[in-house]
Amino acid sequence: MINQTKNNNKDFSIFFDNKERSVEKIQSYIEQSIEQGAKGITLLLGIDYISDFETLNEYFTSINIPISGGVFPEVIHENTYYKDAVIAIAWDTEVEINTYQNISDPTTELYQQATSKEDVIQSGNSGCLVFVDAKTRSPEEALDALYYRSENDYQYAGAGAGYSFDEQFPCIICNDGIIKDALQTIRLSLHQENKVSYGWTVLSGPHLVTSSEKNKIYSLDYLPIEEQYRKFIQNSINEDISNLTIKDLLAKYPIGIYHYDEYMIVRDPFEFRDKAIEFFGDIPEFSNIYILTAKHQELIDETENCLNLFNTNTINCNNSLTLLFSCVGRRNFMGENSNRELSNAVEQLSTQHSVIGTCSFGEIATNDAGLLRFHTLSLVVSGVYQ
Amino acid sequence: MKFLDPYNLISLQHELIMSIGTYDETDEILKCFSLRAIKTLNLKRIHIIQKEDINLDIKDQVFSIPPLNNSFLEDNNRLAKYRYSQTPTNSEYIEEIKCDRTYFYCFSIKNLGFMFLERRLKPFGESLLQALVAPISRFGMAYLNKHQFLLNIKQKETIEEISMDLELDKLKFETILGAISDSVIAINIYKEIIFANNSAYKFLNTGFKCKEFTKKYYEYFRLYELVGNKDITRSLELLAIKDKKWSPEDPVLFKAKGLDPIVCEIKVQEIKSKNSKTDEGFYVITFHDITEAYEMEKFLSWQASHDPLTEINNRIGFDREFEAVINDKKSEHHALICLDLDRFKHVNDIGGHLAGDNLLKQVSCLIQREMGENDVLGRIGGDEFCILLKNCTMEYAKDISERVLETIKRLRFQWDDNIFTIGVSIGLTEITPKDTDSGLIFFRADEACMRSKQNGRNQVSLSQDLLEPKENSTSKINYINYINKSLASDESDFNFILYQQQIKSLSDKEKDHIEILLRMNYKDKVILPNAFLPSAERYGMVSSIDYWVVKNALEYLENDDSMDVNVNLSGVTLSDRNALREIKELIEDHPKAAKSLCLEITETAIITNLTKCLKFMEIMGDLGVTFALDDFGTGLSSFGNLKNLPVKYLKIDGSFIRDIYKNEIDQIVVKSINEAAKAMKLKTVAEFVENQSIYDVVSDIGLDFAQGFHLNEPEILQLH
Repeated sequence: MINQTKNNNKDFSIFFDNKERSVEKIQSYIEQSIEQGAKGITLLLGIDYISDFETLNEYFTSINIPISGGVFPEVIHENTYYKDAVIAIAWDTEVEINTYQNISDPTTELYQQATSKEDVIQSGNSGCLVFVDAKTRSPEEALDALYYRSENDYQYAGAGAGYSFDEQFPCIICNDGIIKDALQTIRLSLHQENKVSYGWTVLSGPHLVTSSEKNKIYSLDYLPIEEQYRKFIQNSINEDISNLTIKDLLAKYPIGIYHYDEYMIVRDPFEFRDKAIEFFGDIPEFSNIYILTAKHQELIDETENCLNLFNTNTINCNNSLTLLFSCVGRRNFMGENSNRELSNAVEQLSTQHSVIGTCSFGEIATNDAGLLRFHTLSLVVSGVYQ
Repeated sequence: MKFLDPYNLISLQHELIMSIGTYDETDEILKCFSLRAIKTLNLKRIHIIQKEDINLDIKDQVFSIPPLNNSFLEDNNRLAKYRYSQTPTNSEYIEEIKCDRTYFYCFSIKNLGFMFLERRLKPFGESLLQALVAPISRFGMAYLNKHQFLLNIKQKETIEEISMDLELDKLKFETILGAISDSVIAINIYKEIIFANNSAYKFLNTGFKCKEFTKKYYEYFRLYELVGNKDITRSLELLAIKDKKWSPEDPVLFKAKGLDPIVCEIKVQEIKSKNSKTDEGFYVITFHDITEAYEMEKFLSWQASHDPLTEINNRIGFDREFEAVINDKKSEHHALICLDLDRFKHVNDIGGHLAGDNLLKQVSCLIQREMGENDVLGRIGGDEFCILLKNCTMEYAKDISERVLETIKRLRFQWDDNIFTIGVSIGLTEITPKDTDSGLIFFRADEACMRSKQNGRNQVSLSQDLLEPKENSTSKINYINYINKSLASDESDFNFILYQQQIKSLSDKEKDHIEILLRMNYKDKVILPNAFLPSAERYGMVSSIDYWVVKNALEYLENDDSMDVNVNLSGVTLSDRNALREIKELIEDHPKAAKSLCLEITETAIITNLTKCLKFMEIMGDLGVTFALDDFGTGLSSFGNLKNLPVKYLKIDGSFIRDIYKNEIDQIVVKSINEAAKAMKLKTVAEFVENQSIYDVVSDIGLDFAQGFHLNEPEILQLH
């Protein structure tokens, strides 16, 4: 069964499948897109859609149409999260796909200043999707490099690809196959508006990060992180947490980083080892952080508020695509309420909108100053329109 | 929710200030602060116009973080003006410059330059911009302080490197100074030694390091003039002070306590102190030891002017001394003696050149014994010597000449089995202050010497004699032609004649002898053998003359054998196997006369040719010929040798007889000889009995015969 959403103005076409779950199905979508004159294809592949990555890999290297995308824990189609689905976006307008490989190596192309040839799409229509291997050495550093290398102001939105907390697997789709340690940009000849919804509130803080390294915090306010973290939480709530393990606490109390003139950046703590709490995303030393907390409903409400802030052009445009990039951690934290959050959001958006997205390891969105931010425990909503 | 309250601004300031950190490099401070600011403030870039600061070694430059391919100042005059602004004297926020969708926020940084925060899309609020002044200012201070700190370290390292280099240079120069053979000493104005290299320690004989030099330099060493030995130690200071340096052309003599004097070249150089606070300089003294070279030069000079064999002056050396005396304006009377050895060739021929060399050494030693300290002896030819007697009278010169003559005459030179006697012909001339031509003086002495030779050798002639005209002089006669004529018995002006002198028996038991003496007759003048024998010796005619004499003696005895006849046989004949054979055959032809013939042989001649002589004497003895040992006592023979010789008569040398009446030693010697001779059944003969006193003494001693002018003078032997 082919589930295709066809845009009348031929900006893009959406193909969705969670039934056949085969390489052939993907091939058929792509071939069909080529027949329809697509300029490029972006695939959002749920981890359980297929297991034969090898055949798929060979196929990607054999086709001529520019292909992009990633492999994620789940994909979003309309109001549902799918682990076993694939979404193919056939771009009928001009797209420029750049895949930067070996991004853990700071001497590679990503870290050099862009040449003017790369900026083939004139600014104005400045939409750009971005996928990065979430298990690369430093996703934030890669995103910074992307920002600094170009003089153009793009509205980036995207997600951290991958499907394992512990290991790095190939997860970025390109014409070289499915690769790891890569960052991919898909520049669109379309407008794009991004909003970030997190809904977390400050439980304690600010606290000074007095010892950190990349994504690990060792001490807060000059004392070891574990006891400080536990103490600050305990001092901020009435409930006794002494019987909770550090892992229990990490699951409930993320931290936020304050940047001037910007919304809080939430960092998802996922591990405590070697006297350090490890996060998705870097925590700079001597930065001020806050211990955050949230109720599920508050998160749902925040998403609603966020969508309300969308530009009316975005909301009212009949020919638009809404991309949702939701965090794995947020999904874990909210449980079933996460599905309700998605349903509400889709309902809130116009029925004219195609809603697709991913559940991923971190979300990416530009802030007001054009800088790419790597978020966790958040929901990035990106509206793409003519 | 947005955080714009003052607390958050303070937190922001704190975060940015903390990012400045304590990095070791200025680039790290810049990078960390900038990246943190970029991240925290959502900047696109930070741009910096850095002004030149020579004192901090900061260069004028414009750069961006992250880097830009092109300068951010291009195409924007509002930004570019800061490129040419003066270095700011304070830190403050200056202005916002908007270009399209980009905002540049300009801050001045005291003593560093300008910082531009580039932000896209969204402008900053004023409160934030003011809040950023403090961290940017702090960054500037930290950045400049680190520059200053690093510069200090760099300068310190540079100073340390220079110090190390200087230390190395010092070590290098000390090593070089230590390695060179020249001695280097530094003396301060207090005359203390402040440095000495290794060679100098040896020079000074100190054996310790310079810090232990406690005394003034002149207590360690002194300097003297090489010629004259004048102490010039003080000159070292005076000359160096006056001229700043002193390098005498002539070497000086360096004397350190306990060491042999060293001949050295010296250089003194004043070194002025560069320390303007003090005027204290020092002197570097370099001593170059040339003792060895000096000695070598002296030796070469000595070699050039001396005869290596006799170690006396050679012709060059003697001329130099001689010229010096002639040219000395204060010169007094001097004398020049020329000596020509007689029969030296014979020694060379018989004994070889080694014998001749040794004879020359002995002769030169003997001559020097007779000379004064200031007199000069030179060997100016093979067997020719000269003596320069300084400041002397002619009497003294004559005396010296006679003594030399006598010494050489009495020399018995033994070489292997031979004993040689030589003579010397001496010419003497006076040197007066009027004499300025050294050649002429030499000529005079040489002429006198020649005269001695021509007069029969072994004599002293004065140059003044040459000035007296002597007609019919025989001095220039070439005797060899006349010897030949005489031997041939041709009728000519020259011919040999035989004289006889009685050898009187002092007892009744022995009959008298006569000794036949040879003379040459020239126009009624009798020429003594001393005049013609040298020519005979030089041209090998001696054996022929001996043969002639023996032949005539035998012919005389054939007619009159009333007295035994003594004939002298020379050493030359005795050493000539052919001559002996001819004489033997001659005597064998006169068996009757042979029984009255007594051949006189000198003990030197016998010992020199002992084997041949013994055989000859044995044969002659068989024919009835007897032998007399002539001049006994002057040679090297002993009584031990005497008893083995088949001689019958012992003729005691005249030197023991001449003063026997007044010299007790001579009497003892003669008595001893007589007693020994008697024990060996030999007859003894006293020669040179020139007065009655001698005659009485020799008679009393009991000698068998006496011979001399007191008894009779030689007279012509009347041949029959």
